[in-house]
Parts: sequence; C-alpha cells; structure tokens
Amino acid sequence: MHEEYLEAFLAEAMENVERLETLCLTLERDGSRPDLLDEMFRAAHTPKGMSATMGFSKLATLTHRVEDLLGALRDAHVPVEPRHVDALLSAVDRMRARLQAIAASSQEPEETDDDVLAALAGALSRSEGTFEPRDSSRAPFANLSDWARRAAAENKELYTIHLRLVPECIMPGVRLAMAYQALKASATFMGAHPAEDQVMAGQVEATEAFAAVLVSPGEIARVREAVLDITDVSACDVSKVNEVPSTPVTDKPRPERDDLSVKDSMSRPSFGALASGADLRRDATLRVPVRKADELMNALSDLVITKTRLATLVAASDDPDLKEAAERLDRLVADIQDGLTRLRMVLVETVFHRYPRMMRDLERRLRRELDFVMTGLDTEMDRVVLEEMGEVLVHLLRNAVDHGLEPPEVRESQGKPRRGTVRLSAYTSGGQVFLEVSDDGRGIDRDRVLQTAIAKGWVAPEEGASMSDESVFALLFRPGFSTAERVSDISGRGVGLDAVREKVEALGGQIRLQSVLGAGTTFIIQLPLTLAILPALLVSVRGQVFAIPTANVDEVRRLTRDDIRHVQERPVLRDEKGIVPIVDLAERLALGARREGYPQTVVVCRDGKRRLALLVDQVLDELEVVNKPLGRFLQHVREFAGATVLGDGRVSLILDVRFIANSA
Amino acid sequence: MDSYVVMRVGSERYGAHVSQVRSVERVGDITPVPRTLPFIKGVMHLRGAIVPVIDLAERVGLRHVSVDDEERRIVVAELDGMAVGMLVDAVEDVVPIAPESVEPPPSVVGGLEAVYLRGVARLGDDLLVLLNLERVFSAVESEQLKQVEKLVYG
Repeated sequence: MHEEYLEAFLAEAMENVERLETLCLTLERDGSRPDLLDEMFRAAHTPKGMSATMGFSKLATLTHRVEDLLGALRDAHVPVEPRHVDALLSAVDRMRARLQAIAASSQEPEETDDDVLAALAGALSRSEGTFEPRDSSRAPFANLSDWARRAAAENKELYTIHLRLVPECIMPGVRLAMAYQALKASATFMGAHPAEDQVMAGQVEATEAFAAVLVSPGEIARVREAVLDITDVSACDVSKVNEVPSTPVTDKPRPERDDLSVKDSMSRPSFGALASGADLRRDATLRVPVRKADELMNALSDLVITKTRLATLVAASDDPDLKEAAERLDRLVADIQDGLTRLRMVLVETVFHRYPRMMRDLERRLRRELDFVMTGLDTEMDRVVLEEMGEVLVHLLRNAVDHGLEPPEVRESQGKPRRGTVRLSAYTSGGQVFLEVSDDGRGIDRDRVLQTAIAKGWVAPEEGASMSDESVFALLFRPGFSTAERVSDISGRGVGLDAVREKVEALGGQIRLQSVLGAGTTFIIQLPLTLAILPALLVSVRGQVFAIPTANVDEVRRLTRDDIRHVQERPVLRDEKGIVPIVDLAERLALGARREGYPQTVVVCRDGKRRLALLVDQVLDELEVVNKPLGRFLQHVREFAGATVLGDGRVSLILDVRFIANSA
Repeated sequence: MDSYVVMRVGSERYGAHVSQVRSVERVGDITPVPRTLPFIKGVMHLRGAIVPVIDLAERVGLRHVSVDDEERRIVVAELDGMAVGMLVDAVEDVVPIAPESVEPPPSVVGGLEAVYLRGVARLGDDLLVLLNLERVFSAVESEQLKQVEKLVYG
C-alpha cells in the first residue's frame, strides 16, 4: 500500500471522526433533526467506505454499525436519548483509537470491538421497537438507468433530487406539489416519489420526496434554487446520475451521500456509489508538514535580516537605481512574509473542536451541570502557538469546571441557576490574540489568597492591604502556591497554574485573571499574533542596543525635570491617563548609574492596563526584527524575550516589557 | 578510541568529546546579556541562531588575562539540542584517547569541581582534563535559576 494513500486516508478519516463527534454533541444538545442526522450520516459514511477500500475491515464494520444506529434514529424519528449518544461517542472513541493505531503501525489492530458493537446494538434494539414500518416504495426509480441513457443521448444530465420540508410544515402536500411544479418549469421532469398525481390530488402528507429530472449541463444549481425558494422546503440535495457510476461528482451542494448499509442498499443505489468519488476532492487544500513550513520561515527570517542589512548599505549610497531596487525588494519580502505568516495561521476551531466533548465528560465525571459556550471560532492564530495553547486551555477549562463551578445544589441554594456557564472565547485586538476562559462559579477569595501568600512569607502582612486585586490573583501563578493546602478550594485553583504561566510566557504571551467572589472567574491569555517577526523600536542604553516590541509601546517622550514627580521616593511621570512609574533601563539592567541631566528620553510602554516609562539614552529606529529565542541556557534571564540580528550583523536583545513591569 | 577536541585555557588543557562539539568559531561580536552570571559573556549570531557564550576560564575559576586574541576561539558544543559557545584561549588539536586510559579525576583540578570532570587522560607529558559538559551546562542553568528566583521572589 502506498504511504501517501494511507496518509490521505488517515487525515480524511480523522477529520470525519472529529466531525462526527462534534455532531454527536449537537445531537445531544438540540435533539434529533433530519438535517443533523443526514450530516452525521455523511460523516460516518466516508470513513466507512474508505476503510473498507483500504482493507481495514474492523473499522469498516464499526462505522457500519454507527450508520445503522443513525439510520434508525433518523427513520424512526425516535427522540434521542443519552444512551444513544453514549453509544455513538464510544464508537467515535474507538474509531479514533483505531485510526491512531493505524497511523502508528500502518496495521489495523487485532483486538475486536465487541464491547462497542454491543453498545451500539443495544441502543439500536431499544430504538427499533418504535420503528415505523419501512416504506418499501422508497426505492423509487427502477428505470434510472434508462433515464440516464436518455440523458446521455440528449446531451443532458440526469439528477435525482431529495427534497425535504420542515417538520412543522402545515400543508406538506401543497408544498410538494409546488416543488414538483417548480421542477417541471425548469427541467424535464422524469418522475417522482410520492407520485406526482397523488401529490396533486392532495392524497399525500409526506414531508420528504424524491424526484428525477433531466437538465442541460450546468443548470442544476438554478433548478435547485427554484425549489429552495418555496416556503417550508428545508433541504434539496441533488445527485448526478451517470451511467458510469464511478465518475466523480463535484457539484455543490454535496450530493446525498447516503449509506451502503444493508437496509438502504436497495433503496437508493446510485447515491452511495457516486458519493465516494466526490469526497476525495472536497477542498483544494494542501497538506504540508509543519517542519517544512518552519524551514521556510527560518529562511525567511534570514532574508529579512539580510534585507535590513542591505537597507543600511543602500542608505549610505546615493545611487537612485540601487535605492529603487532595494525598495522593490523591501515590498517583495513584505509580501512573502505576509503570505507565509498567513499560511501558518489556522482557525482556533481546529483545536477548540475537541473541547465540547471533553466538557461533556467532565460535566458527568465531576457531577456538575453546565453549558459550554465557545465564541470566536473563526479567529486565526499561529498554528504552533495554537497547538501549544491546546493543553493550557484543557487545564484552564478543567480548572473552571472542577474548582470554579459549584455543584448544582450549591448553586441553587445560593439563588444561582443550577446550570453553570463556562465560556471559551477567542478574539484579536491590536496585533494580539486573546483567549479567555470564564466561569460563573464561586470566584476566588482575595483574602484567602493573600493569607496563603502571607503564610508563605511572600507578602508582608502590612503590604497586603494596598495590593490591587490583580496583583493578589497573580500570586496564584507562582510556583508552589498550592502545594501546601491542595485540598482547599482556592488553592485548588492554583494547582498547575505556574506551569500554565510558564508555557504562555514561553510563547511571548501573558496570562492574568480577574475574579469576583461569588460571581465567577476569567482567565485572560494574551498572545502575539505571530512569533517570528515583529515590529520593534530600537533604543540604546549605555552603548548597547535593545529592541522593544512596538506592540508594547505607547509613545516616546522627552522629559524635563518638571515632568517628574515622586511617589514614595520613586520617580513617576504624570499624564492625563494617570501615573506611570519610571524605570531607568541602565540601572535596571545594571549597565550604569542613573543619569542626571535633562531632557531625558522615555519610552512609555504598556503591558495590559499597566504602564511603565523606560528611561533610555536614545531612540534609534523602528524596524521589523526577527525574534530568535535565547534558548534554554538563558531562559531564566527573564528581562529578555529573545534576540534579533541587526542590519550590521550585531545581536540585539528584545526586552520583555511585561517582566520588567512586573518587577518594577 | 574516542576523539577529543583539545582546548587550551591558560596553561591547562581541557578536552571536549567531538560528538558534543558542533564547530569552532573565531571570536566575533558578542552581545552582553545583562543580569546574568559573570562568566556568561553574552550571545552571538551563528548561522541563523542565537548562541550563548560562556568563558571557560572564568567558569573553571582561572583568573588570567589572555594575551593572544588572535588565537582565541569559541568552541560551540551541542548537548541535548542546546548549543553553547565556550570561549577558550586556543584550540590545539583533536586527539584520539582510549577509554581505558582515562583515569578518574582527582578531587580538585584547577579549581574545577570533580563533578564537572569526566576524567583525566595522559597526553604526552601533559594531562588532558576531560570535561563533563552535561554537568557544566546544567550547573549553569540551575545556578541561574536560583539567581533569578532570588531576584524575583526575594
């Protein structure tokens, strides 16, 4: 077997399994809807057909049984119960496990799926009692192949149409009649089920129907639109019928990709066969190993450095041609950089999609009742950063359910709704990505956090009162906060938060939390949009050049002696927005004593809401720098977020404004 | 036979296993990194990467002033994916040494604690001190960590 087929199979199958999982959760939440079950069918069907083709028979069987249960739910219109979803999810888990095993060894594991199959069969058998007898006339078009030949002869296309009405439709017969009329008006109408004359005679109450039409090539979309225009028509799936069934169909919307299961194989023979070809070419996307993209990114960062170097040389020249070429190069590099950055961006959804399932499981295991709400799924961020954040979010979400939300009875006794809400939001703002995890649970007791910190000797008792809530809560992120009293609720929230903070900061981000006792807690993670290349301000301090990320810079100011005030003997700057502490970088970085003499230059920086004025000798330039990590050896030097190579080849350190602000 | 890169620091010779040595570089621009341990000289740009540089003489506790800048080199060692440059007075040779001819280190050699040594081998009339680079590097890391903790948490 070719490795590339296997890879394509695994990627596609995994996608479908994940989709199926998401749909299972929707099913549990919203109950049964025909379109939803159809969608689930499609998600199950593709892996089934493909795994059979690939020779993974156990996986194929498993998927097949999933389809059986879905079919029963759809056709019997039984209300969905938790046991159905449980059975489906256990099958999803097994499918995923099988796929992972196949990915690892290219072999299907030998173990059987008897337990899962039994669960599916159990859920199925109890559903089946309520089955309506199957409408045998649902295999409507016996002469489909004759029609297909006619279509070929007339240079037309034969389509079967599956149309459905909304369940609450008041006069389904009338709507179907209207749909048939619309079909007749825009295509050659070949036949329908329920039959046309029955519908016209008002003898039919069905909410779904099948029709077959001949249309000129390319016309089917218009026909479909015409049908969908009719009130109460909720879906109109079209499938092209060819004489050679293996020809792929790429029309949108996707053709009804119904099952090949035993029950249905008689009813709509053409659909399944057509669909399997169509699946493989759904989106024209390119799968590229992250490693290759990273190599390219690395090459690009060196290109940016070289470009900057060249710009330095060109600036000293007065050759207009050279200047023009350099400018063009500048634009080209910017375009490539922009494009590559965007290539690395993925929707947060690609990682978020696994959380609803996790939250459902947590809800049960921890005996909480909650609604889990995700917003901003279409937010894009750097793939590497996002993947690194995956685990952090798992931790925070668990933390919110476990330590944030109270048990339902407790909530009720406090006059809160039984069901708590946990929210995961993503959004971008000012070149940064924000991820927030919030709950409406018990909140964090500021005083107890403070007491713990005082007991540990981190905070002097007299210091505590004047601390802001935010700096008190920041104590939770310190290593060793919770170890002493793991059992208590508030310290429970501190468990592992130091690791979370470390991870976020390693990616150049920051984390803070807000909490109102009794009302809930919000963790806010702020991350750079992309790690590699950032605009920065170059400053010099005692002859050494440092870079300050522009994202952190508010303004550059010249200070006279009169601008400086003192609070508790420390210099501050006052402006319309408040008081800003001044930090002399030379002093802070041990490069020399505080400079007297005015005017002085300060770079007013921002870290979240906090501001800080960094006193520098000179502001040199503003340019794009490539952020290169300082590496493990220097990771504990927290004043610097990384280093960059300047145009003249020298290395300049990038200041970590947050750390300096925190320790100011 | 194992091969060792022979580095000279003052009058002493130290050996680093070739499998741990990535390259030998001339001394170029080294950007100091403020608030680090004194023997960390800073960082340098090496083919796209930023590499920290430590002064091996200071690390091993030798106080001397190098006379010949032309001969000074940076030996870039790579351990566990982490590259670190070691500033030495000269790189002299690569020599083969049989494992059985390596003797356990005496407790103190040139101010360097025994844990940083892999052993001592005879090199002609001279002694070659074989470095245990894992220890040298990891000790620097943990020492730094301690310093930072002190700075941050008091």
